[in-house]
Amino acid sequence: MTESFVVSVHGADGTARVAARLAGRLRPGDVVLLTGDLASGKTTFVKAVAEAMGATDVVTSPTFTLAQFYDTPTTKLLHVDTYRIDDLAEYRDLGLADFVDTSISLIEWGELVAAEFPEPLTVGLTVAASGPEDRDITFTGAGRWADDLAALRDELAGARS
Amino acid sequence: MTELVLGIETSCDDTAVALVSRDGQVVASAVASQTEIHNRYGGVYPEVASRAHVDKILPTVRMVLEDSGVRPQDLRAIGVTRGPGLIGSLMVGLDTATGLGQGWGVPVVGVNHLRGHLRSADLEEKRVDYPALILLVSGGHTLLARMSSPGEIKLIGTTKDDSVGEAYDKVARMLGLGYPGGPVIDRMAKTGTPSIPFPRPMLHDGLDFSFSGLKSAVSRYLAANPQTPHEDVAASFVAACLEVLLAKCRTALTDSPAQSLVIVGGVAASPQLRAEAAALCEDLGVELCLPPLKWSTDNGAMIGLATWDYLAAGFTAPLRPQTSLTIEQY
Repeated sequence: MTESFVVSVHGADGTARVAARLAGRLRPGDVVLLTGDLASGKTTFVKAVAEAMGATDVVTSPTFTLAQFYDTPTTKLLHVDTYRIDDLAEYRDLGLADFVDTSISLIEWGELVAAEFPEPLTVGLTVAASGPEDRDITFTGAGRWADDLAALRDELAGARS
Repeated sequence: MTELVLGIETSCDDTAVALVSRDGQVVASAVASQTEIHNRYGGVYPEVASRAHVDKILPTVRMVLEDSGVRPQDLRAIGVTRGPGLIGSLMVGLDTATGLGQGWGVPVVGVNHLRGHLRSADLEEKRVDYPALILLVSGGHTLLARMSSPGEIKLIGTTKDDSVGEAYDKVARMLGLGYPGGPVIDRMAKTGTPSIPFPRPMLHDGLDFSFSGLKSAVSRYLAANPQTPHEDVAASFVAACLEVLLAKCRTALTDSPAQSLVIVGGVAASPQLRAEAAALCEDLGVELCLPPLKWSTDNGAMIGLATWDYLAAGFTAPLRPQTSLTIEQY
């Protein structure tokens, strides 16, 4: 069954705090699809996940490089951006499949390649109606994610109250 | 006979090969996104595909050698990009170079792509007086480095998030302009007024850059002010980018004087950047070096010239792909 919930945050710091909470629940083989318009905070989200996992490299946008790896003490992070990729065939030609199996993958503009992954976690970032600095972050996942998302929702609700 | 290096570059989109002499003369150069190869050898190439490098690389090598009449056995070395870049794309270049080197009995040198960009300023003619300050501005990179000599590089500033070229492209998309967005934004900016006070990220904060916040500010402004002429938005955005880039160059040149300021990378094509950099250099009494634009984008010649630095220093790196390398690494 599919679990989904929305959390509202203010500013890039707010996005980063939520991302750091997710980081502790990620493990090798996980695929996180980030969706949202330009400047909605996708790279900010990945930066915060990487920092929370102890990566020391500076996380920059992979729009031009297409894919970047960061080392953490426990695993590798694969940071992909499909902004310049037209379709699933082009994504497959990047030859990342082997690395997806052994890394934690965070894919910006992930909707383009959603069909490639059996059990992705989708993180949607949208500018909230309440103001240009506010974001609604929607987590959606099934299978392995159901329990983790329920726990994450409770954890975030607890952190705010 | 002039000694030549075969330079091979496959780190991202383009398959590029060139023959370069020790003093930077380019005997032949081909980038496989050019229509010439397409016409001569046939085939349709997807824009972004590491597998496409496999189809393109041997025809491109063959064309460069045939065009120049150079025999493979006469090469001093093959220089090939080992990183940073896409692992699959790098592997095609490295594996091909290794195979050719073994078959021809020619040494193979793995080269840092970023060092190639820096050396592109000395292709075809010697332009750079050392010590030099280098500003590399492209889609993938935004950084400042000092070079005391061609091989000695110190990174002094880099972007914390987006490159300036990426900010240009994404603002172009917000304005409904085409891709790549740089030239279009520059043209549009010329007819607008830079009246919107967009932020100048990290303007007085060291030599590092940040352009993500500026991109977000443009996005917020467009949502709140849909009536503002796009020309004014473009002009204001370009003004913000240039002020940051030029201020960092001025600080770096004042902190530690250099003989020349070298600007390389795709954004070096910006007429506004070229004009303002010329004014800055005149003010500070520094030579401005702007290499021809064809060497500003990825090419094999810059890898070939950097290879000569490696040969001179006796430096060898493992012929394995490196997805990340800093500019200070070989």
